[in-house]
Amino acid sequence: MKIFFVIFLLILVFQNAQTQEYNAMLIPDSLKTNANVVNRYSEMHFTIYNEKKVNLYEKEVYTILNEAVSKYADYVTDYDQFTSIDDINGALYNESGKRIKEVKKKDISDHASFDGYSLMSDARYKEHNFYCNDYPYTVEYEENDDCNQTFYFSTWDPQISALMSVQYSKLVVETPVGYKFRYKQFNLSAPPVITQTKNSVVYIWEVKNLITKEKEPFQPSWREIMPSIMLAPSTFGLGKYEGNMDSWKSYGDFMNQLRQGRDALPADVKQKVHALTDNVKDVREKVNVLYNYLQQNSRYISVQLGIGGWQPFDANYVATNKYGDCKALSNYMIALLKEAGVKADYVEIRAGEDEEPIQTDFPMNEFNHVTVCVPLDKDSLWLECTSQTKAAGFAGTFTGDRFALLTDENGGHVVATPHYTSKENQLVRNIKASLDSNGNLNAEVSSHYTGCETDNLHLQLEYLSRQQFDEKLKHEFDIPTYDIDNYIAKESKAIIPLIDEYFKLTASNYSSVTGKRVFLKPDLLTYSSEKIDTSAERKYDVVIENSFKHVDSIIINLASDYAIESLPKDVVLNTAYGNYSIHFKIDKNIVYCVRAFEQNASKFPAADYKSFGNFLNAIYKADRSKIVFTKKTS
Amino acid sequence: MFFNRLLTLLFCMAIYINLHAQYKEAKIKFGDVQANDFKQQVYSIDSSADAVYLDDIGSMKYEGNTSGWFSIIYKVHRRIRLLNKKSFDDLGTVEIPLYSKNEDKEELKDLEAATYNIEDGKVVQTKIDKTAIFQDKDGDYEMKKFTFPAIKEGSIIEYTYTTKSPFYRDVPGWVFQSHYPRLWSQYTADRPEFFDLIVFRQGYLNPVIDTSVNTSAFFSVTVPGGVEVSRNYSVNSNMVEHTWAFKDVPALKEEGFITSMRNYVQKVEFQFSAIRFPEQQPETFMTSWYETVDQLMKDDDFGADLSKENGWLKDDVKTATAGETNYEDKAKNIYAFVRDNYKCIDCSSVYLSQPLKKTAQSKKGNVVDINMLLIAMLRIAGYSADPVLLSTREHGKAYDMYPILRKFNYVVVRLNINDNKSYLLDAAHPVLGFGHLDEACYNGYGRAIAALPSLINLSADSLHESEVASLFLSNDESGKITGNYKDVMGEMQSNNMREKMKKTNTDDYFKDVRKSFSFDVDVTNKIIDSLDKPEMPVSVQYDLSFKPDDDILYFTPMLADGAYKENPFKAAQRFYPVEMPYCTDETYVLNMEIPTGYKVDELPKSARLSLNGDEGMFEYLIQQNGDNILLRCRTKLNQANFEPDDYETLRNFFAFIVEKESEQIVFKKQ
Repeated sequence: MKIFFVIFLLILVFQNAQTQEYNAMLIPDSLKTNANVVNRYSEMHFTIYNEKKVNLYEKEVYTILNEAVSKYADYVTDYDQFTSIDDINGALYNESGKRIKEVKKKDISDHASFDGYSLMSDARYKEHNFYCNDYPYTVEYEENDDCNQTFYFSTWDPQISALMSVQYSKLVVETPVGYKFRYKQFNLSAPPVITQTKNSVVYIWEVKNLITKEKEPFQPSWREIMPSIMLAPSTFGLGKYEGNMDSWKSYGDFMNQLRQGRDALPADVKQKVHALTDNVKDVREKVNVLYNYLQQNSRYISVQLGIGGWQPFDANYVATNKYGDCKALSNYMIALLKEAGVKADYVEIRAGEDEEPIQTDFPMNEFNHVTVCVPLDKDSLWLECTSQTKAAGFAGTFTGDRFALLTDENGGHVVATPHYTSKENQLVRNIKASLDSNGNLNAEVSSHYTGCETDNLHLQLEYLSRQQFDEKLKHEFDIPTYDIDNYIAKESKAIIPLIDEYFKLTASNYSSVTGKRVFLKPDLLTYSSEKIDTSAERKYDVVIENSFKHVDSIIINLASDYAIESLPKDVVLNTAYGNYSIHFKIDKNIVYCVRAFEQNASKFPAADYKSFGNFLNAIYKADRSKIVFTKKTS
Repeated sequence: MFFNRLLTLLFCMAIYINLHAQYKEAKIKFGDVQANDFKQQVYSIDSSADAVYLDDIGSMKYEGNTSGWFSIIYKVHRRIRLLNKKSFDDLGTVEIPLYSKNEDKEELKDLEAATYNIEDGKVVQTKIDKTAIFQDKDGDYEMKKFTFPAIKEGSIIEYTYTTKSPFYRDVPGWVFQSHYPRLWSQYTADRPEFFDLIVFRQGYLNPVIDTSVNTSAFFSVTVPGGVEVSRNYSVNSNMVEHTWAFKDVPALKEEGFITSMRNYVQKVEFQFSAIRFPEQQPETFMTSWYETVDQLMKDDDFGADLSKENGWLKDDVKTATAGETNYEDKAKNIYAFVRDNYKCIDCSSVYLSQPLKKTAQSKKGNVVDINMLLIAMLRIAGYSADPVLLSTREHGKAYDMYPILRKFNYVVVRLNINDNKSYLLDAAHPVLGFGHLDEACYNGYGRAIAALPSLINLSADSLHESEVASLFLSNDESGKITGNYKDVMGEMQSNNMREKMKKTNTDDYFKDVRKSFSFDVDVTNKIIDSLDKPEMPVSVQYDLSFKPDDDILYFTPMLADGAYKENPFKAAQRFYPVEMPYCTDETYVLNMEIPTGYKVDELPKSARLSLNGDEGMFEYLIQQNGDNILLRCRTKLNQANFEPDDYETLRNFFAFIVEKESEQIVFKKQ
């Protein structure tokens, strides 16, 4: 009897303690301001035993304040062949912190991670959700994983959203004495607390009471404003391979090890390479010929299984199947070039338009893609081997303007990919139009795209079916009712590629014709959509990411001779944020409008926000200027 | 109406076929690809096609199996010419789903796949490596996946496989049409006379073969003996073999304002209806709606729990109705209780996913779990309430005559207050008011699962959405124009607004409102009303003020979001009917004082336009009345569905509206 009583009492005390712990009403007000979710307690605890054995314990307790962030109540955990999830526990607490439900094993679902492009991958995830409807509530999850690799670790991000505040979060890394382990911290002032015992060294980082962050237009990247810690090994193991990433050089040595002996080409392909290139003298031309051969004879198919996530399929695999992923196709391309006597290198890169740049002073695997570089005397040539249509040498917004890791026989080297400015990235439009007396507009539009300005259109031409492309054209312009005919686009491949586009546009009732007036917006197709609120207080720097120049020259023939009632003023803005001008002119019954806008990637202090905003808002307004005519009474 | 026309069309076609049967069934052999097949570079059927199906052939038949019954043997054989690399992602990889339930498994047999290319004038075949066939498990399905090797523009790919399925009542149908054109698509269904199938066909195209042949066949069925010896039976039966074929099938073209392309794709489907062995009582599976209701209400996965007492729910009913005495309001409270306390995590089902008690405990479930719980609670409280089956718009049309349950995907509740008053309720949708359904439910008909299984009209033409916005503007002493705007939204718009406001806040919403003006305005006294009162329309209100400063003032009286800024009908042509989600009636009223110091130089002209007689109308009435300008603008569509023939008229109608609503009043400084 006594024992029962004691146990009963213990449970009661325990539950009471928890009640206090997760009571949503006890969250300090400062953490509730602007917050949708509060990270009440989270912990990430790595125990590194050796290069092939790591245990990861994770716990997270989130209080979900409203439905807008119910996604944070969804617990999702990824795993693959190198990771096994031992255990997932969790519970749901109501507003006052009472434990009302627990995770049941059978409610945890297990899925293949569908990345949207892989044919096959061993990446999987487990998921659980309490589907609670009663806000606020608190979810608590803990998980224990065993990993048998040390090539990559999770990054610690205690504040995963700008609208999340953090009450307490900690990162613990426990290693054997003498094990070398590396880290880089961002937006955290304090270094770790390090304690050493006989057998282990323990590093602890903590954060407390982090308030929510502002979301601001044109703000710097996440890593620049949010707290996080990147973790990386010194020596590591991955499958049957071992390596070291103290330096980019040694990281590159490891990649060489993975790729060793995978470049043997079958005899028929070798013959083909010689047939294609033996009579070509110029190296660049050789590259072009072989790159074109690759594009015509392969396609992108992703298969990521185990070590295959990092190790390319060999050249023979690509030669037979005529497909492969970025690693396999790049490796194959290098082999083709090697056969033709051209040296080319394997480049790991973090590709994509909005990706965080890699940390060049902290070697670790932050890459998501592989491309090829052919080092030449003047400019190097970059080859995107997953594309069947891209021009040789053009990196574009996918891989351009960033640092990447090139691996050659001497190991890895950080290199910069091509930089593109408003000199290269241009869209120049010439529009010849006529407006009839009912306000219907007929226009011939010739556009000339260069550099990164071709990227979108190139992808659309490459991937969209005719039907989808027509659909895109229907939604392209902000004109009430219009049709496009005679559409032609001609791409020219070059290091700076270009696209010439032509189409006819008819817009019924483009200009509104009332009793005695005609209203005409002469800036037809290119207009700013960015209007920002300059009254808000600015916290972060202002970051302009894109570099471009747009020039539109518009000539509109009017059907009859109207008198001008109102001609918009010309606007010329030459600022540090960019140069903009729009000019209007009327000569007899012809309207001339020339609009030019040039901007280059740059960064300004927060104090500049207001003048930057005024600049954008002035453009927004000028682009929508209307000319008002009155009909002459005949 | 439209459906009737389609049926007539099919009937006419059947006659046509009998008169003009001139095509023979296609038979192709795997690997038999000739250099000739590569000659054509462009196919006249569709010169812009990225790929063309040369042959698309399928068949199904029954076979005796070793577990004492029959299996379905389903065979697919396709040969596709890839013309442009844009088709590689779509067609270069094939996925075959195999269903399994408990011990019963669909099996894949005889998979063969190869790519053919022309090299030096000769056809070169590259077969798929068997190790490159991957499998993934996804719920009850095992997915077999492979991708073709060595494909390039101009390649022909070919694959064939057979599946053997013990699910003898799940008869596979055939889709003759997709986003790629087909030169030939053919399907054969061969059944013994003792299995009855109902055939459903839909689409706009004419078959070139539509024949039925009577043959006979022997089936060998093995009954496993367990500890005893297995026994073999031979069954002899007359056979009915039906073949359909379509020649030069155009690609399916997606269009906007359509319930679902599923309603228009050319296809044939089957419903297993009965087993009729000679001299035995037939066993029927396709029943009348009366029998279906009976079965469903006894089914553990549907209505069986409703016939129980469900005493454990009484406390909840008490909580929900506490303090309420009005008969109808009590029902409203029960509805609100279920809607607000239970979360729907699967909005497409016609069966329970768990017992009602489990739903009550876990506070979550699929749409059937939640609405059945509502029925149980209503019944405890003494109401008459029944489930209603329906198919949501994106799920396609259900056949109104036949109780084929897979054609339905949603269950709502019909509450009968007395003999002539009833409400439709849906507690699975978190923002709906009492007696309202989401627009997705308005897809033709629903079927009451009640003693009298009546049809319930849920036509989009019967759903009316009306919105009234008004703006009052006057001059203040400082020369500013100030005013008040109020927009009372329609039901569907209110629901969308409620969903939207869960994801954003009032401040951000009005920031966007302020941005939507083409000139600088101050927005104050911002209110969004009735977000928490689902029975009421949501209204948005604010005060605004701005200062006119130019000598000539061009003022668009249709401010902010009141106007149609672009034509919703983008395409110049239309192939399928236009199916909008509801009828609309939008009114905008402006009453403004002429700005101090200005006089009216020009007013837009009043206009009135009707759409095909009484199908819709647009009205723009504007007048100056002393120092005031009055505008009343109304857009009304009296029906939601329009035939393709009416498309151009409809597009022009909206073009006129967009133009008219962009017109400006011109004020000049005196």
